[in-house]
Amino acid sequence: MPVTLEGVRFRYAAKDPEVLSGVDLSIPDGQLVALVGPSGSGKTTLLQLVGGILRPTGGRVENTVPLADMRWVFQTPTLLARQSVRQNIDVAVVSCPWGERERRMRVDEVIRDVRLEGFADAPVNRLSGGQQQRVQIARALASRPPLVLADEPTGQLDHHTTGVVLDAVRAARDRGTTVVVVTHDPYVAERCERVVALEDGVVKSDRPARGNGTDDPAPGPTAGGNGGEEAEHAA
Amino acid sequence: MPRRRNHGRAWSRRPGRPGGSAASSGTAPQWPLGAVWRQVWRTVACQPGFVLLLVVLVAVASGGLAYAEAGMRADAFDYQSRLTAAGRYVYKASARTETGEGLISAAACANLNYAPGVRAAAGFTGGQDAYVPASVNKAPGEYLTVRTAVGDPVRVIDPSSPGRWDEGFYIDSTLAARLGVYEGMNVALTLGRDGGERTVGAQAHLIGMSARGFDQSQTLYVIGPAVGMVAECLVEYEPGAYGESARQALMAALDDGRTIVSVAPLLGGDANAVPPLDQYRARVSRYFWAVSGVVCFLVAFVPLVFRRHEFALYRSVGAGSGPTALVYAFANGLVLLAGHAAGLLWMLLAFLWVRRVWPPTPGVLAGGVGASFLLALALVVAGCVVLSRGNMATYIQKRL
Repeated sequence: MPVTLEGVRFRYAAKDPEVLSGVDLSIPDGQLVALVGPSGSGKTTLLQLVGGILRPTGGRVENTVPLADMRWVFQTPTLLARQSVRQNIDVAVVSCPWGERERRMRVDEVIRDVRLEGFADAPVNRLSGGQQQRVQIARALASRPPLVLADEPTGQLDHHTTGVVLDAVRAARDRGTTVVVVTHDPYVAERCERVVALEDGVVKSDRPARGNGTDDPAPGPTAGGNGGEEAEHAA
Repeated sequence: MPRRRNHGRAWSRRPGRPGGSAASSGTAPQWPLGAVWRQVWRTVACQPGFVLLLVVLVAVASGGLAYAEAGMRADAFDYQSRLTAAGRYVYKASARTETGEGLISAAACANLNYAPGVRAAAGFTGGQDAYVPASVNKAPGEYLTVRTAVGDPVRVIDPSSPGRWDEGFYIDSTLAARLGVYEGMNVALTLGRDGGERTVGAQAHLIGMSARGFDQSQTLYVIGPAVGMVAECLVEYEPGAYGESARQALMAALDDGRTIVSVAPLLGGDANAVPPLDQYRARVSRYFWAVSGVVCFLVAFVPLVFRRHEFALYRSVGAGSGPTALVYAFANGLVLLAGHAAGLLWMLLAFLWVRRVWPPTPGVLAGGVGASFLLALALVVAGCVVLSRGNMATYIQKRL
């Protein structure tokens, strides 16, 4: 179920300048894509267009995943504060066609993925911000959605927690989930499979990530785009 | 799954418009009822202290208002009862000669017992011969009077007594106790004086005569045949039948074409005053159930407004607006049910504790509490529907 954008243009109001000025992008199934770029480059807008939240003012967007089947990860977690980690994740799998036992297994699996086994029954309002973000990510991944759209999921996390989150996202990717991540963090970007760089509303570069979806970013070819700028990875 | 294409200008008239049916938000996966109940239970169980606080507040509000209403009802009923006992619904018809003999037909008066709307009617003789001096042999020195009545004097004299037409004589309970007379006792009475005394034996029947002032004179009553004339005819009406039309009908029934009969309320006071039951029916607190329902709704719902992000959360993980609204509606419904039940219980117990009696018409009061619950629940459901509406895209966009 690929996502395809062809010549997508977007502006918020008729008199506003274009936020996106002809974006061509194709995301195949099961790929982990990072959208990078400076503030105001249109990353979050592009994410909303991919998710069908916004309609383009020019060009077309093809996305066969219904909105109800997509999962979103926001920069600040929104959780059921007084319910436990397990209960917060369980909310996302209620409507899945699984039996009770399988549902519990899936929930436990994602709790392990985000390394919160010891906090499974703790109320989320007693967790740290980083732990709460992990809960939100686990909730997004628990139902094995076909598409996950994440807007700065690691924006407020430390290095260690960022690594845990990336591990969980990659585990979901391995199970067939397509993940699109908007990020400012080059460390995160280079640990995805593919890095799409936006600038001034157009794709400046579209290349494989140096890490190619693993923990250790190996040097990789820089693909051409409009400008061919490489993303810098953290030391 | 069909491919979905979004062509910018073909779909949107205004750029930047979010979501919409053409964007194919898809059908939200269905939540089985069991899942809804599970979420309801988790929502309630995860904050027991706060839930308990809400239940207490609802109980205080609903029970407090119900207690006030019960108190008003009890006071009104009590006042009405006392007025009724005192003769609020009794007309007194009088007609007598210069020497006090009665001019009202005894038969006409007694027959009023069968008139519609009449609870009891009794005629009392008048004139010098109507008051026969008497004494009880076992209590000499106590000067009594025997007076003859027709119709149903027992119920007219003592409104709490059922109608009785027993042989013997009727005496006030307090007077009887002083004289050493008990119910059913065969008493020797000496009637008359100044040489014309005669002794008769009669069975004593005790009734309460203080309600309408019949105990002011030490008078014994005997029921006689409805023949001859009476000086007074007292007629008690059912509360709904009492009024000017009843008074006119009474005058007409006793009018023999020759005698002017005066008909007036037995109790003095403002004839135009609104009866206590009518005042009660017009009371503002008859809407207590509506006030209680609104207050309880606010108690339950205002905290939800501060948690509206949870509605967005459910929507963003794919729950439809229906299941989302149901979770919170059921959770608050449980709070309202527990609160109203507790409120009704503490109201009944408090009333019993303070007044030593159950509140009047407890079924009506329970119905009022039930109406309050239903109103609060309906408002909560409507509120949850409002908070959970909107398409998923809008919720998500607000978070980005």
